[in-house]
Amino acid sequence: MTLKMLLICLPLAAGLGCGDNLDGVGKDAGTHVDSSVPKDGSGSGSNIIPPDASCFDLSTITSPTNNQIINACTDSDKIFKDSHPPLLGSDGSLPPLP
Amino acid sequence: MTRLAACTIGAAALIGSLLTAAPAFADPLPTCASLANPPLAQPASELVYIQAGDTQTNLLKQLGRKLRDNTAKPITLVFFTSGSCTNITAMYTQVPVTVNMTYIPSLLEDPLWTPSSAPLNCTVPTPGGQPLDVGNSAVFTASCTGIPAKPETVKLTTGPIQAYVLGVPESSSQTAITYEEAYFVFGYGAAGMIDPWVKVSNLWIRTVSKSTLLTWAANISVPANKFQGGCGSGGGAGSGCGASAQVVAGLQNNADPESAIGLLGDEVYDADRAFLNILAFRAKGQYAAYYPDKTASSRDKQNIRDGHYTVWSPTVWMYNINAATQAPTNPTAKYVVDMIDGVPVSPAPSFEPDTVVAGVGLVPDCAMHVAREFDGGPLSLYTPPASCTCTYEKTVATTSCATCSVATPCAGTAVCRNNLCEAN
Repeated sequence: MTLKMLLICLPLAAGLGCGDNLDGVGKDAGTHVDSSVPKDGSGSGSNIIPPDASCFDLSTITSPTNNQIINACTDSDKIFKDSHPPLLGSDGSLPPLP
Repeated sequence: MTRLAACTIGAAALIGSLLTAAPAFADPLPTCASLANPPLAQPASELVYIQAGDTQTNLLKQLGRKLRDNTAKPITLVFFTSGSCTNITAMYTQVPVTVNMTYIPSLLEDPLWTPSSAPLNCTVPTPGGQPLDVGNSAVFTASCTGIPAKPETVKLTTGPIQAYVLGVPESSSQTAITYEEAYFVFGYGAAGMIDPWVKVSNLWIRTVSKSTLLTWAANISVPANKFQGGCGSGGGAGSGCGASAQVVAGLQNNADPESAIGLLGDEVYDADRAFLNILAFRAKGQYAAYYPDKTASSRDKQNIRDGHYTVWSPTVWMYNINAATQAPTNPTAKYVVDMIDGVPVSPAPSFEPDTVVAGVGLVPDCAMHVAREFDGGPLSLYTPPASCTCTYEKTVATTSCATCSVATPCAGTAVCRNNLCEAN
């Protein structure tokens, strides 16, 4: 009985803990689900990237780059899109136009 | 008998010609010059002749109404719309307008006119046409190819920020597009294999002189003359839509909404939100896609202002000056341009110009927090000389800025402006 309870409760506790952690981090300040993961979080993505890669806090950067500005932390709606253009190079490069 | 027949035929021809001419005779178009002296009991008005991009039509309609009714200085905006690059050339080489121009009636002339109504027409001098006082481009002048060098007799100014969007029919299920997808859709057409945008005849684009196409071209790395699509035909950039309204109509009444996509000015979309949607855009190197506004339904332009939505360009407003003294050839033209650019004018108008600018979906420079040097160029942080972020936010939505007054000044270095604490 005790073992059965443990088997049920441990995953639940872990799950709740993770949930609490994510909620505490905020909408985009703590985690980043990259473009391989659909908006609803389903799919293959378990690739949680550390908080510092999810968005940039511009208040801590003296002269932010373009990349830091467009990926700055924000409360705006974000749409993560699972996109794999067939003609895109394996290294992510774009082929020349026809 | 022969004379009787001739008389009958002649009389019939005369009556016929009178009947044919009657509608035009009964309701002739006014000359644009005559608008300076309205027949009704309203004061005389100064005229400013403008050639602008059609993305600026909503601004000119709203501003035109208010200026014609501006008690301190009544002004009539007489305008004609064309592509940004065409407009730059027209100003630089003093090309007059030779077709009918448009204007907005005053409240007294037509109390029922609203910004959703069409402007009224007026005629220009024949021959010769109407010289311009003001020109507008909704794209950096450097994005236009083949334009002449700027003469010293034209003054360039930077106006409000104009964003551009990718519109889809309201029934489309699509919500976002990436930089790479847009590259393949508009650079390759069907061969790009970006589902569902694989029908070239359903890629609604503009012609190569239009700011809408040029700005998108710079932001997705597809040269303007290589754009796939058309105006329902799919014939390429040369057959793009001449007017934004054609793109709107093409999307709105589309038989295959899922494959339809079109280039629009953001403020054009703002006026047509009831029957169109737009796609969030993920720029090159960006982690997520964003709308111009904080959400799909808000109107705060937050992501344009802070750099999360990247497809925008500052508008450029031009007027004629004396090369030696730098004085405006027509001071009223400068008055109008200053008003659009957010520069204080005298006499003060009977309305708030920045509110008009914000109300049509443009972003005043003073509300921007990022800037760029050329179309599609990298963004850098920007602090305007006198911020109007709080006032802008209050105008279009709500603001979290603290309120202030003479009795209750702002904390720290914040500046009290319009009873709101601006950052500087």
